[in-house]
Amino acid sequence: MPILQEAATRIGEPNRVAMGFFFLFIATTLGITWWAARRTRTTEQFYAAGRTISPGQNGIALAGDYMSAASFLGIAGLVSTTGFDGLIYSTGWLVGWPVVLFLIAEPLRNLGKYTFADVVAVRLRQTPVRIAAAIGTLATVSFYLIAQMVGAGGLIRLMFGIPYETAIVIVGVAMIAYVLFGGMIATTWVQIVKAVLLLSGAAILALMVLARFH
Amino acid sequence: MADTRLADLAASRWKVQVALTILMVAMYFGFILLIAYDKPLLSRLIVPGLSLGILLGAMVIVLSWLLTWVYVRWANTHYDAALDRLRD
Repeated sequence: MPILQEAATRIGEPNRVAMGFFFLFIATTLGITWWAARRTRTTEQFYAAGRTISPGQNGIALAGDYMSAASFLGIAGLVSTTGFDGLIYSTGWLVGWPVVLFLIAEPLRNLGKYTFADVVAVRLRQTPVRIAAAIGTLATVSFYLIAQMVGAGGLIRLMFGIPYETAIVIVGVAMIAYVLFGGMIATTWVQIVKAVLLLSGAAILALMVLARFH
Repeated sequence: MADTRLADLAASRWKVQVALTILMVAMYFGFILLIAYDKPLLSRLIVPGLSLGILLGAMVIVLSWLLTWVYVRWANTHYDAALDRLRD
């Protein structure tokens, strides 16, 4: 297996093809963000992409949200090292989505609000609700985002051989730029690009693995 | 009376929402409890190369698609139509 051996010996060293793809992806997504930032003027455009996203596009974007380095690499590794316990992760994230749809989607649409905190604040006292929502959001983000940033930082450190702290700062700046300047339009289209890349990449990888180890 | 019809519709929506949520949660936690307490059952092979655990894991995913489809169908054909009739 010459390809595998070559790849194995090169881990941790700068790889020209991988770096090329990395810069292409960053340039494309920042381009989308720049394009979206010019089209984002109002609150509705920032939070809801001006209601221009079709259900199909939104579905692919949500799939891009759902798929990450974890579903691409992490879960396969978890299942292979811990057995059935690893399956909890592959189903648990998916199961949360329908429950959100059943319980929250309709009230959100009825009230024409943008965030869950907005909806609850309509019925209850504004300040405590928003504080509780902020605490909940930050707690979730801490657990989810830190894992993602550790993964991305580790990847960039391996790819370019730069210090881990610098890699984390670069990833963080890119993440904030996407959302802050591009709003929901940029976030949605970046997720669509990511979903298509991940789905086709995972499909090609699965076929290549099956072709070799069937 | 539009008021009672609206209340009826809200009540039926609540029933559908709760029923689907309970189904989803029961299915997921049933699977988790099996993983926690009955690994020998899950590791039983149905056909060579496919264990019951992997099959059930895939079924949880397929069934959540199915429940989503049920909800979307109900919302589009039943709920939204009833809401439109009330608006007239």
